[in-house]
This record gives sequence, structure tokens and C-alpha cells, in this order.
Amino acid sequence: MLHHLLIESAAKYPDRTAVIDRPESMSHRDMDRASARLADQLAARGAGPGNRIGLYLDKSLHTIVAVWGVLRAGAAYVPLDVASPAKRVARIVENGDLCAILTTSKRWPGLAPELARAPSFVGVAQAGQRPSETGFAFEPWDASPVPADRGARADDDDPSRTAYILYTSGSTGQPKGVVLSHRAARSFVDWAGDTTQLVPSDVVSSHAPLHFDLSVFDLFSTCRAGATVVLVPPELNVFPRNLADWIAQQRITVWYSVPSLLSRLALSGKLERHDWSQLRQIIFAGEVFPVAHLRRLREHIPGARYWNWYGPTETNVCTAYAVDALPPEQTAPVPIGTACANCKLVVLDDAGAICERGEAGELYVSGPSLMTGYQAMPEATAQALVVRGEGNERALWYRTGDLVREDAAGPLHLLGRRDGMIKSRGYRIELGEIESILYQHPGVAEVAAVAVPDEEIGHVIRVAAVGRPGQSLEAGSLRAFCADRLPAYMIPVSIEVRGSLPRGNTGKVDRVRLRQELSRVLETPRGALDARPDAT
Amino acid sequence: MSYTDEQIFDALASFFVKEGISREGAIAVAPDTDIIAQGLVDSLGIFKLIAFVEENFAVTIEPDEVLLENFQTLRALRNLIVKKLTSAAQNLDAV
Repeated sequence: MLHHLLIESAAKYPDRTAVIDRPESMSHRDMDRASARLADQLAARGAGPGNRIGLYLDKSLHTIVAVWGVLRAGAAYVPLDVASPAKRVARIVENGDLCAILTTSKRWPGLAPELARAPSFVGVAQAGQRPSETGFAFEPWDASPVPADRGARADDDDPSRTAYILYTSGSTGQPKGVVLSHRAARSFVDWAGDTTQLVPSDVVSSHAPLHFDLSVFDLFSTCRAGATVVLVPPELNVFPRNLADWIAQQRITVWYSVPSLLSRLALSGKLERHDWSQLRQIIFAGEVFPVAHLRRLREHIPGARYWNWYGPTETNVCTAYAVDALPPEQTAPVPIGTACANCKLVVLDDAGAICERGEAGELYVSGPSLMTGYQAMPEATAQALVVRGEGNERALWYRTGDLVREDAAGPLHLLGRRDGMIKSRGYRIELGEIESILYQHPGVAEVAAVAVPDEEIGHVIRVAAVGRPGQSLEAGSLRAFCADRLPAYMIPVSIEVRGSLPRGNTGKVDRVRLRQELSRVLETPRGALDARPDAT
Repeated sequence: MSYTDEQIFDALASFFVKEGISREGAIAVAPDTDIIAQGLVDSLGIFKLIAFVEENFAVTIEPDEVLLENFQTLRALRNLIVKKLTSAAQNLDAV
């Protein structure tokens, strides 16, 4: 079980610092006590195995206490993105059937009015107070009791129990909740801790928000080692030089983030100002790292070991590649590597036959790190998880939708997607989700979202919309409509209102041509800004 | 070209209205609002804000000046703009 990691680290390394969120910090012992008390408070209100508890919290010490407290109560935590519009969060609260929400007095008033169905109770952290002293103030929300125990006790350590649910973009417009069990999480957390050889003296960065699965390594693999995790102040994302100073000052030894941030650091962080000898591992995942930027980063920080980790949220990390030589002539991205010890991989062609080495096909993943399914979406689950093999080989496999090719030397190379999913700043985005939101706008007759490749952040999203006859449609109103319903990373950088969309001879929207046309928007002032990644 | 503080703050605040970040006065961006901690400017937004400043005040912001301490509030940004305008004016005088 995940929470055993904290109980064990508190017993072995009670006085070592578990979490730093400047200027505050907490030892493993204090984290153990604070989270045990929260677990008691949750259990006293009826929350336990089978329940899901939302965390509508900015990342802070309170939030980390909440993660451990929910797990110790036997419930599952569901991170709710405070940067997402409340309307979208409300849909997640509903889909997740959350019995409680832990939040802050600052955040809660923004979400409460949007909730169609209220959770049974709410825990509110008081701003500016130390979580070890005050914890959460609980208030019943409505009269409905927490659903009765669904067949398990909190002390009943069943590794198939849900540990957390992470919501990602869904092509139909409804975010999909990826359900991960304690077994799946531990399978990854243990592998990752061993692979990176984390030790108690390590200082690990925590950059990703909790609803992003990179956070699972930061929180749990770090705790497993008795090491210290340092929460990266989110404002530093915007200023590479300040971020570089911070990483050096905090003496970070293990860094884990999406490549786009590392690109910005390499290009604009003025890394030559610092001594990087303490930074021993740099791990990146979530998107392709442009090799020119990776090479530049390695020139500045030559002593670190570099890892490319790959894996959809549904599988946890399932392949790893230790970056070795990057010859100057190499322009192709580094491979995603070979299967992690806890995963089985197979590459299949469209007919379901195993691909020859060198042939492109879809990657399927099997093993203990797989998700349980999508929350309350049996059809989507059945499409994603398929039974394959005979006899002892019979197992559940996850279809990644990613096209890969195995090279002669063994490692896998990522070639692209089978569908409309794209990555921007490491976030998974279904273009269909953006389109289906815009189709809800009363003035929209037709709309198409395209992803234009971008050196620094992976892709930028551009939208073309056609208004209903006789109605004037303004890009500004569509932008505001998106801002109310989509998280910031899904909001298009440009929205163009036009008379029609380009079509192929079958009548389908010609997305290739549209992408070319919208790429030329780069000549306009706003586009010019996007085209200057070196500007920082 | 010289501006009053009020003109600078109004111009900068209009950026947030134009970008749809501060709609219909829903979020008032005051001179001392922490625009970074409030999430009003993210890593893409900063490029737009820089271009807006460069275009409106005819200054060039150098990569070395893209720092938290110069962009945290409109007042910090105003100080940067005034410093740049002053040094530009001095350079002109020198010629």
C-alpha cells in the first residue's frame, strides 16, 4: 500500500525533512502524525475504502498531508485543478462521485456554486496556518451521509483498492478519470525509486501539479527513500533565470519535469552562472524533448544522468531510456527506450499481428502498473483495456494509441499518435474536447481545432470557426467561452472566424490544409510572439 | 515620450482586458496585484505581455530583464518601463 511508505520512512528517518514548501517544511515524523490525524477525522465522518475525496488545493504542505491522510483513511484522492474553470471541475466532482472535498477558504467559494450535487462534507484549510497545528476545519455540506462501507475495512490492506484518480482530456468533451490502484502505483513507485537509486540525502523537485502523473514519483518515490521533496513555486515556470537560481539554491539532486520547461531552462536560464555538481539525475517525461535543446542542457549540466521516461497515465511509466551520446549530427529525438522491469510491451499492426523489428505499429502495455479503468466509463474502459493471449499468457493489455518502432539495437522510438490526441507542454489534449466545447457556443456553426508543431512546447492549438448564418461571431467571445470551460493549457493561442473551412473531395474538413493555413497566422502580431521562443 | 504613472497602469491593465483575462472588470488588475502568483500571466502569456509593452511604449525588453522581480506587479513593470524610457532619452541627449 502507498501509505506504508510514509509509516516506514517516519519510523526509519523521523527527523529528516520530508517536504519543503518555502518557508515551511515538515519532517517525516510530523507528516506521519498530521496525516494520521486527518485520516482519523475523515474516518470519523464515515469516509473510507470505496470513497473518493477531492483535493481542491494549491500545492502546499496542506495538500501533501491531504494526499497521505486520504490514503490512510482507505479512500482514494482525486486532485482537482485549481487553475481549471470551476465548471470543468464540477463535471469531475460529479463523474468521480466524490464524498468529500478538501480545500481552502480562498478556493472553496469559487467552486461551491458550480456543484450540482454536493459532497457529504468539506474540509477547509485556513489560509496562512500550519497544517501540522491546525489541519482542516470540517463542515457538513448537506444532510446526505457518506455512502456506507462498500465491503472493505481501512485496516484491510487490499492492493487492488483505488489509490487515486487522475483526470485527463477526453475526446467527447467529458474529462476521463484514470483509476489507479495501490498495486499499480507501488509497481511504478518502487521501480522508479530503485532505478534512480534515491537515498535519504536526495533532494527531489516536485514541479508537476498533482493531477499530472509525474507527481506520483515526486511524492511517493521520494518518501520511500526517506528523502526530501521540494515543491517548486509555480511562478518560477514563467521565469527561467529565477528558476535556475532556485534549483541551484535549493541544491536539488533529482529533477523531474516535462521537457518544455527544461528547454526553457537550457535556452534562457543562463545556466552557466551556477555550479551544477549536486544535480545528479534529470528525468523528463510527457512529451518529446527537441534534441538540440537536450544537447544544450547537457553542455551546461554535463555531470547529471539523463532519463527519458515514457508512459500514459493509464500505465504509469512503462519504458525508460538512459540518454547516452548525442552526436552533433543527430536531429531525431532520443528513443523512449525499453520496457521497465514491471512491464510487458508488444507492438501490433492494424490486424493485431506482432510487428517485426523495424516495423511501425501500435504499442500495447501489460503488467501490474496498469490502470483499473476509467471512472464510471465502462465503454471507454472496454476500448482501452483488451484481453490478449492464451492460457498462462492471457492478460489485460492497454492500447496506448501511440505508434512506435523498435530499432535494431532494441529501444523503441515514438512515431506519433493514431488519433486526435496531442501534447502541449506535456499535457494530453484531445482536439475533440476543444471542438465539442466550442460547438456548445450558440453562434458556432462549424469549428475545427488543429495542433501546429512548436519547437518549445510541443504544439500550439489554433482554431478556425464558422458562424451561424446571419449571426456575427467574434473571436473574443469564443476565447472567453473557452476560458470559462477549459484549463489554460487547452485554450487555443488563436481563434479565427471565417466564412468556411477547407474541405477535401469527400466533404470532410481538410485538416492538413487548415493546419497550413492557420500556421500562416504566424505572420500576424500575436503569432509573431509565439514564434520567438528565444525571447526570454 | 513620457507618461504619467496613471497612463502606464491603465495601459498595462488594458492588456488583461484585451487578452480576456480580466473580463468586464471581474478581476481588477491593480498596480500591486501579484499577477504571477494569481496566475494571470503564465509562460505563454509572458511573451504576449512583453510584446504588448514593447509595442505600446516603444522599448525593447532584453532577455536578461525577464525576471520575476520585473514582472510580479504592474508597479514593478512600470518601474522597468520608466527606467528604459529614461535611459533611451539620455542616449538621445548624448547624441
